[in-house]
Amino acid sequence: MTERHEPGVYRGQGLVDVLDRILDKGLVIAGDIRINLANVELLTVRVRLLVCSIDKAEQIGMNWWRTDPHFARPEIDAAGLHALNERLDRLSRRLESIELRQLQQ
Amino acid sequence: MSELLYVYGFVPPAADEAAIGVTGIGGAGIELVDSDEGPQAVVSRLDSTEYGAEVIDARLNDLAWVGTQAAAHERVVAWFVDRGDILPAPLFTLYSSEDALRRVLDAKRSRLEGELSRLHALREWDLKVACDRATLARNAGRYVAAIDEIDREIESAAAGKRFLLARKRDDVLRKELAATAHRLASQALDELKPFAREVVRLPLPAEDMPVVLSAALLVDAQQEPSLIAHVEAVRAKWLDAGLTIDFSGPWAPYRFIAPDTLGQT
Repeated sequence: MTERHEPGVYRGQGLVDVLDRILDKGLVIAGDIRINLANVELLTVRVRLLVCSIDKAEQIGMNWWRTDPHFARPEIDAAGLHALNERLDRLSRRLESIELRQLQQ
Repeated sequence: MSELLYVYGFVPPAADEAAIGVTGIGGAGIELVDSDEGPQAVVSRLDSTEYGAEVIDARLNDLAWVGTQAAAHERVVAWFVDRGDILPAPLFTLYSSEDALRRVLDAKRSRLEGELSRLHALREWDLKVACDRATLARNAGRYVAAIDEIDREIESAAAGKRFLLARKRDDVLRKELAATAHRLASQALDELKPFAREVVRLPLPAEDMPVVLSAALLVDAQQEPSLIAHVEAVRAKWLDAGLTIDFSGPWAPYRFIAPDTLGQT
């Protein structure tokens, strides 16, 4: 056996990532001593949730586009959007007329 | 004490047991078991009172304990990955005796040989893309045409209109941001695909996770330096989109081993 790569250089993952890989992947030739697969599946689900959240959660925040109050306002339907656009246009015209009057003074 | 065999994986015939420089679960030594000079199982002998099925079942909720065993399992597999080929076994693959293990080695010999041959010199690299929504929202004009249009209007608008346009921008962003993050992450993966033999997209457990893409790449060992260099370029390219790219490996090809169509032993 010859060493062909500097070991571990790009293996800086957390334990949950390792667990996610080895819990139910690989060459599945179950031994004659069987552990409870239902328990393993539960653990796998738990680990998979951690994998996709724990690393970045502290930096970014969970549920980031649902819980952020800036982006999580109620959905506006088409009629609401149309009304909003009309309001935007009215306000824009009003502002422009004010600016025009100021220029003329 | 009664003992059981813990299997880490399977390696090609005639590996040198004396050269193995790693310890396994619970600090146990590593041995190789073969049958009729076929592929060898990488094993440790463990005390069944500590690692029997009932003990493991009872401790599966203890993530710290499971993590310790997982780290030891992966340490052994990684040692072989760095020196040759290994077909890794899942965590907690246990046999009651050498005879029981040899029966499986005999029964599955052609499958083991086939997979060892198919995956020779190929290793797994894992890609995980997360998105910082604040950065993507700030630079969204570069990636979403409707936002770009609003940004241009904002540039030339008077103060009052600018405020209203900013609100409109937020509304568009709220609808587009998640889809944009997923689309850009897919583009980043596409840029790495030419370096891989195979790519599998891994399922995300929920839509609203910070991680927006998870994938595994099967890569020829000789391609790895080129791939690593390219990852750095891709990482830099997508930084202003708020994408952070975690790339790790080389791992044993856990996610590329073909399912056993003949059923489990």
